[in-house]
Amino acid sequence: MSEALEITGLRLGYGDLTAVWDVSFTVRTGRICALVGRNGAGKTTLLSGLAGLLPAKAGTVRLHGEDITGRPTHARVKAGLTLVQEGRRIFRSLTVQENLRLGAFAHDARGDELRSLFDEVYERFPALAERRDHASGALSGGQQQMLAIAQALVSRPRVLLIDEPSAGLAPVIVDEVHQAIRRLRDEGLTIVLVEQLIEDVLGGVADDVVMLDGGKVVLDAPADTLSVEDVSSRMELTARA
Amino acid sequence: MSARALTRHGWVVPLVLTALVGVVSLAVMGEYGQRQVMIIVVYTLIVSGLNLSFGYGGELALGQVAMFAAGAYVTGVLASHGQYELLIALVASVAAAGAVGLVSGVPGLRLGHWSLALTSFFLVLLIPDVLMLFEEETGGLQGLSGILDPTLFGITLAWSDFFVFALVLGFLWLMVVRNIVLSRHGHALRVLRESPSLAASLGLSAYRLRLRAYVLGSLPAGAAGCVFAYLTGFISPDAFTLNLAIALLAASIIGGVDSIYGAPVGAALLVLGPLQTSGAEKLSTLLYGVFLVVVGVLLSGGLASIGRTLLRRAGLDPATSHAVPAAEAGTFRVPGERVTVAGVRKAFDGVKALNGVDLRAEPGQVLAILGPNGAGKTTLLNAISGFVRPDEGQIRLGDRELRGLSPDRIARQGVSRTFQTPLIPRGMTAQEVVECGRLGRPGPRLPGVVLRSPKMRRTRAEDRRAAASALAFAGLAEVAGTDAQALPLGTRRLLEVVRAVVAQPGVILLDEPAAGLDDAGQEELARLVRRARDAGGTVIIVEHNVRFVLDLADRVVVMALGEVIAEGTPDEIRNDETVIATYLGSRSQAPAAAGARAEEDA
Amino acid sequence: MTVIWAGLAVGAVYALVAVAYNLVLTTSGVFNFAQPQFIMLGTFLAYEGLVAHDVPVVVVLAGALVLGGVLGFVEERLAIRPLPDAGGGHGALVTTVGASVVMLGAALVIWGTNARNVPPVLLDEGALTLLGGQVEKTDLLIIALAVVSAAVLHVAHRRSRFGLASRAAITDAAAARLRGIDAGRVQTLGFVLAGMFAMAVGVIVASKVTANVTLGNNLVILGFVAVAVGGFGSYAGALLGGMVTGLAEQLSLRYVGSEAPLLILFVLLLTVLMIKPTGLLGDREVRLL
Repeated sequence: MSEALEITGLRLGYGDLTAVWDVSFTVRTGRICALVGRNGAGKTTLLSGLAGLLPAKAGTVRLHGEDITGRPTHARVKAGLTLVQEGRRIFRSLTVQENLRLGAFAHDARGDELRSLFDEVYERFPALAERRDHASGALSGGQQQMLAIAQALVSRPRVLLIDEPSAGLAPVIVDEVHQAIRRLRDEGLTIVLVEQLIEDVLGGVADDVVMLDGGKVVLDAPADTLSVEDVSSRMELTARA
Repeated sequence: MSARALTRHGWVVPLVLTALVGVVSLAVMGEYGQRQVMIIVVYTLIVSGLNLSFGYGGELALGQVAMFAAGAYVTGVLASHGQYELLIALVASVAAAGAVGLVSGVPGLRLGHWSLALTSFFLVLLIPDVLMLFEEETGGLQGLSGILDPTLFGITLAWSDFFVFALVLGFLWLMVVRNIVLSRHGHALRVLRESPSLAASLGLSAYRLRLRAYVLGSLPAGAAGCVFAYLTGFISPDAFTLNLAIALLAASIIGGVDSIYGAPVGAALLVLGPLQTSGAEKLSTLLYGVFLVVVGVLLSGGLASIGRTLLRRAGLDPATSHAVPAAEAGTFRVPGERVTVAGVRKAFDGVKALNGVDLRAEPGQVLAILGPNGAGKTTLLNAISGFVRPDEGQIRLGDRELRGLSPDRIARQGVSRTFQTPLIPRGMTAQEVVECGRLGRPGPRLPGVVLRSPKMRRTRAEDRRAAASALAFAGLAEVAGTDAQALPLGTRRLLEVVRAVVAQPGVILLDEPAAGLDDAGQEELARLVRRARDAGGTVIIVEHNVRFVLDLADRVVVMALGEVIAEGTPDEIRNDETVIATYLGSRSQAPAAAGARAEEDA
Repeated sequence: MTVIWAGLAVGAVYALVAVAYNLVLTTSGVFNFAQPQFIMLGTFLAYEGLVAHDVPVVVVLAGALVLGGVLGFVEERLAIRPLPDAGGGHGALVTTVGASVVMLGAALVIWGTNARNVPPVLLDEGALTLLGGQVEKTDLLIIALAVVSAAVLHVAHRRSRFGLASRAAITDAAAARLRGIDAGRVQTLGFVLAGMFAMAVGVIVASKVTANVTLGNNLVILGFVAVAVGGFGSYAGALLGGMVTGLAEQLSLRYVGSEAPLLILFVLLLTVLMIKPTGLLGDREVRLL
């Protein structure tokens, strides 16, 4: 049984600048792997590279044993790996329903099959069901984040990468979002989550934690072996000694 | 010749070459050969204008031919009324071309580059109709003849005199272009090409810069028209066609769109090249098209970029230029002002990015804004610097209201900033990058730049001294002459801060300057920020890295979800539980959730 | 009223150019300067097929579709795809002008500068009297074609799968890729469709505009005026803008003089650019370079 995501020696950069250096780690199937690290450490770059938005300068990425390293983004999405970008990058001028329809380009489901896929997603996020025909720009921040995850789900991913879903959301909403993510994991989805809320991460949202610093992996351990202090002080999120 | 000498005396080689061409043409070639040379001069003028407009300003002036026609017809009409004085004709032609440029540029630039390109292309289509409209003066489709015997200061010119006149005119114009390109106007255009946001943050209005480049580029076409009219003695609409416009574009691209000396090369190829053989005439259009596609795709710099690469390999890099004056060890003052932000609100598509923010920053102080991602820190910075228009609230620098002004106007009011990703134009030394920080200040007007007036020299010397002194202030004097893009990330970050400081602004806004820096880099950055503060500056720094900031700041403001949730000295913030909770996501305020988590942990 | 019909007929031609421009604008955000040359080549194809070689109309149209599609594909591959910004920046300004010139140059070599007359396609010559004015049957066909194609594409752009994909691709290419949309393929398809459409249009309008090499350059400007007035990225706008342009041209020709139309259209263009740069029905998502 191969792992959901095997990353070996991955190097990513922009032009001459290398932002991610020889990163290697494994994401086990059906687990949430939290990717943490301070700003500028390379987390978003890493997710972009995994999604194929950035070409790899070196290294390989295997999705359930399949080498997807050279593949363009849309091919990776079709293979079951997709990314929910930070900042709730949905198409604001399109309606909720149209945004979901976009998610369906990853496979060829049409007609009834597509409709039942939408029904599944609407059941998971009732707030979106009520606003099917609203322009997504009119949704609240939390709802937009739900929509961003929902449309990724329509593409039937096997591995879902999520970049900072909590940014800019009130604690209560963040809880809802994290709950939805945990439910997805319980149903068998593998998730890589970039998150800055360390207490949540270690408090039950993540199964494993990988920390990046300066583009390199400096920590790779199951969540239950780490304390909040261990992680937050390494990231300089607090100034306590 | 050293690289430095090459640029300072960069006018020598072109002068020698021009003189050589003149002597050889007059001595050896017959009248036909001399006419060819003059056509090359005419086309050089037009192509050079196209280079200025497109290569430097980014505006594809497809309609240069219309300015060319304007100049030619103004000259022709003057001649038909008995006015043969070249200088008058020249001035009138250039003015006419400039007017056409303004009329097409002001509206054309309103909607980006394609609108301008097509509006100017339209001008060429209009030529026959305009000529018909003023048929009695212009001769309509029949054309205008009798444009002969030009005079200069009243003296009728012989053919060879006129030849020399044209050659000198061409040379002088290229020197004008050179002076503009090497001046702060040229720097401004390069900054604009790199990033319109950077240009705005330095106080430059993109629209005005582009319009200026476009109108400037139309002037030599007018002069070319004047020369052309007297050269051929007869002008008609057949000489000013779309095909010519395309050929000139091809010449510009092949010579090198953003080069000064690519213009004569392209023009020469156009006039003398293989396309002029009788068999190839039919194929000429097709070949121009192929050139455009091939060169457009492969060789974005044209032949001139090849030339530059060769020069660099030979060790004569024209980029590393003028002498860097020794920096004075004296004091570098930054006249900081108070910044007041009151009740600022901004919503994007229903999401409240800023929900009523109040803060104050004082001169001689570093105010840090902390907060998790999505808190609104960068949005606040963008609101202060004008890149985002707040829905409500006030933003004051000293006693001046900034809200609602465009970013370049705000920059000129004394607001300097850096961006999260370093924005450094290509092909500039560290010294030149820092000099760009002063581009928003009033400087010498264009005529002064072209004629190298005392004011222009003084401003340039001041800019250089200020930049050198700022670099020394930051401890970067050794890298002043190095290509800025080749420097390591930490140094480039410092360079951006120096660029922000050199304008001696009322407030310096730093947007996550420490991101991606290692400990040593953070140390240097902190040192520079402290120096700027000690020199009297107001510094507002947005950062995510708590430890870095608490060591550096005098006052700290913590934001979350678009609001200020805590304010105080670093010590007060350091131990503030609410702040820590915001970062870590603790739910100490919500017992139910904590209980649920405890269950899962068990 | 005859003048009105004339304006609508010419306007329909401009509208068709604008529709062709929009096919590329709405799928890749590129302004394809070379698009009208496809129409020009279409008119020559009609000449060769109908006059020189007596080929059935259906075959000529089919040939236009195939040739137009192939040329569109070649243009995208050679002039747009290799650019570092893939059409989003300055490079496309030069290369699409270059592609335009290549097509013009090829036509010059093959057919020279003489204009050729082409008989009407699908309908015979002859005028009708409608609503108090005279109008050629072919003109009615062209007007109908403009209205129908604008309407069909308007709906397709809003509702179809491909329309949705292209709206996503030009709004945010990276986000579109993350939805499994191959933004590159959308771009290529846009060029192919536009090429097919434009060349077929050329065959149909050949009798009206006659086959001549300068057609492309004239249509570039006037088609641009139509798009600027109607709004970039909008098919309804293309129809509206085209009609306005055509009517302005014919009315000023009739009531002012023969030098007037281009000048008046120029003033119209400047006015629109100054007052409402995005056009009457412009799509804000389509940002023209």
